[in-house]
Amino acid sequence: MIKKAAFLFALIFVMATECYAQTPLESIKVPTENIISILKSDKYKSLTPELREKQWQEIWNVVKDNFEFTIISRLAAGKYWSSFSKDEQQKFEKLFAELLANTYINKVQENFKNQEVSYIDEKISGKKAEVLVHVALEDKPVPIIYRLLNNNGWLIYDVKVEGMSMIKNYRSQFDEFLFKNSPEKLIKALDSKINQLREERKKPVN
Amino acid sequence: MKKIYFIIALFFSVFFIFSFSSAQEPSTAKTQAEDSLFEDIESDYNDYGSDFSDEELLDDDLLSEDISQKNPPDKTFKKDYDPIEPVNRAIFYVNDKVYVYVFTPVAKGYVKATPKFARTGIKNFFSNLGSPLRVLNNLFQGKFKNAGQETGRFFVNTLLGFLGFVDSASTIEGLTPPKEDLGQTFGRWGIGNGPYLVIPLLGPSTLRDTLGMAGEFYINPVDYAVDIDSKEELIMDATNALNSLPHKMDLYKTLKDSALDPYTAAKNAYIQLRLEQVKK
Repeated sequence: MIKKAAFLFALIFVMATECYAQTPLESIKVPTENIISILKSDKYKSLTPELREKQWQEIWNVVKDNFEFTIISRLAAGKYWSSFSKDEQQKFEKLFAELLANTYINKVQENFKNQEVSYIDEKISGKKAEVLVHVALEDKPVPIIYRLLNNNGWLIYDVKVEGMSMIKNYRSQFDEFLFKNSPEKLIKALDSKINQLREERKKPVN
Repeated sequence: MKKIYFIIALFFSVFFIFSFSSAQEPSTAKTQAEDSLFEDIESDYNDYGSDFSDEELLDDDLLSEDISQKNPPDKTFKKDYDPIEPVNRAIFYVNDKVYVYVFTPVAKGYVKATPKFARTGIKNFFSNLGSPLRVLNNLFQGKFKNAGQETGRFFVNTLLGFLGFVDSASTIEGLTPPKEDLGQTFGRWGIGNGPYLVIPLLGPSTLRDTLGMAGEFYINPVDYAVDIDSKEELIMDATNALNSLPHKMDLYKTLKDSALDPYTAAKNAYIQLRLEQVKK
């Protein structure tokens, strides 16, 4: 009896860890497929502003746990990160995550036309990994590389589209901004940009 | 018409040499200063739960097949070299207004007035016309295999694809080499970007790439093979420009929406993209 229970327990344990220990490619594929099904869902057939907001929220709930926003913020703030106070660092992390969400989820909502996504390749090097995905836009596939870190599961810290690193791009902008302005001002600027993007979402999609 | 391009090329060549001989030193000094700043932060890394430096996180290409290209000296971290920033910003500002108030409405009108297959066909046609020039650039870079693929592509699309209107070659494996241009050839030869430039109407470029663009007017094999007068050439160029406008305006809007500072975002995106293209 005990043996049987122990066996069952072991089986459940193995299965549980197997489910948990996703490969980098799976940890991109699962949420991506999830988001695609939200985008295709019948309940969002006619996107009124309210429904759009609801869909946005639903996508954000899937996305947010797959990003390593602390590392992302630190990388984006670059050499100025240490000149932020602890409080500013936390505010910045929260707002930068919101900026990314408001920018790119909006874009996906506007432009998703059931493009085909293929999961091509993954490479792991210690605690870092890269996953290559192709999105079929127009006639040719656009290569997207996700960069991930293993921190109790694989989390995204950078996305490269056609070889362009998104975080490097934001880093160049924040670098320019913080060269002349204080972190406090950057936080204000982020806040107003986010509000602008939120407003845009209320307009009907054409 | 061609004389103007020649004068532009000459003007930029002089500027190129001038800026290169005088400008490199301050930028290396800045690089060193920034490097030491990075070192300061590195000691704090463990506080943020990461064992990696910023460089390791952003510059290592795990998926890159070729070991020799694995760790190229990537300078996108450092400020992108922009000695005439006030002038560039002014041109960027004017371009933005033109894009928003002229080009975007024109592009929307064009999309409404033409069926999609026509736009795709025109795009393919002009892309195919650029093939011989890309063969040449592959040869200049010593990429003989890609030159062969590009040649094959040109023949397949011209003969089987109704003079290039149908991109039949894209369905054939091994006939889709990366697109090469003269700016990339210069890059391959070890010539750096030089100063960043914003060209009126056209947008982001660098001195090297502007020279490359000007040079392509002289070496394009199609110009030598096909005899058309300058008026017809102008109509062709205008058609090509109009046809590619919708896509370009979409890209511009995405960039602008995502950016806190569109000028810097466009500059960095351009320089990163070109670096990647030269690497390939």
